[in-house]
Amino acid sequence: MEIPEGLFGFSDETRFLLLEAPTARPIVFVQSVRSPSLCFISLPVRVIEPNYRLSLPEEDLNSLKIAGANAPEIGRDVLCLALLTIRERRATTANLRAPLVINIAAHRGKQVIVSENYSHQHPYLEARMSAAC
Amino acid sequence: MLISQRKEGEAVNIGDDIEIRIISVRRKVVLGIIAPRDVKVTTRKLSDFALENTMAAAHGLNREKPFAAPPEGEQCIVLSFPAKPRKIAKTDR
Repeated sequence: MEIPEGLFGFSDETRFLLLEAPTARPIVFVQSVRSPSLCFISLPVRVIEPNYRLSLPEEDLNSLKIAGANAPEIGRDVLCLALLTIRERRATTANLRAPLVINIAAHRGKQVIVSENYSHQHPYLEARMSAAC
Repeated sequence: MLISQRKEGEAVNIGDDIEIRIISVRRKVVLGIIAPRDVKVTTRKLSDFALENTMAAAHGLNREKPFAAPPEGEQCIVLSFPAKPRKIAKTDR
């Protein structure tokens, strides 16, 4: 998967693999191709927020190469992943404000900033995960 | 830092194409911002997102902790869409 603009703070990282491990589902590992030690942990936004709404400005639609007048649908046209920050002795948070959106057909992604008032540190703690931490 | 007093309806301009207008001042200040499309307007600085990503990645670098990376030795599935998921060899990390 190509992320031509990279991620915020990681503009040189433009190629990633999305990995799923059967025991860690629904977690998606976002693994850098260039840097083996760089791996983000993410969850589909709707696992965290079932009613998550994604509306993208034209600029983002263009860089994701999403054509058409209709807003892209999560799960059908795009994957929408929230990167997780796992903190010591504090709730794991999910970045719902700047999710990683991936055009499924084009294998092309971008970390976008959504205009809805979601937090970039949305508290989220899955029981299974908290037990493991 | 430029500190400028403005009343409701007045504006501050930055360069030729960015305008910040005071819409209303009551309990909260309501700002209207007009800027070209390529200027990202956000209430958070982009550096906040960069910092958040760095913290998110920090855990990915820490192999002592679970969930730092795909569990070692476990078969992972590369999500290659729209084709069927393809199994790859055991992770060697």
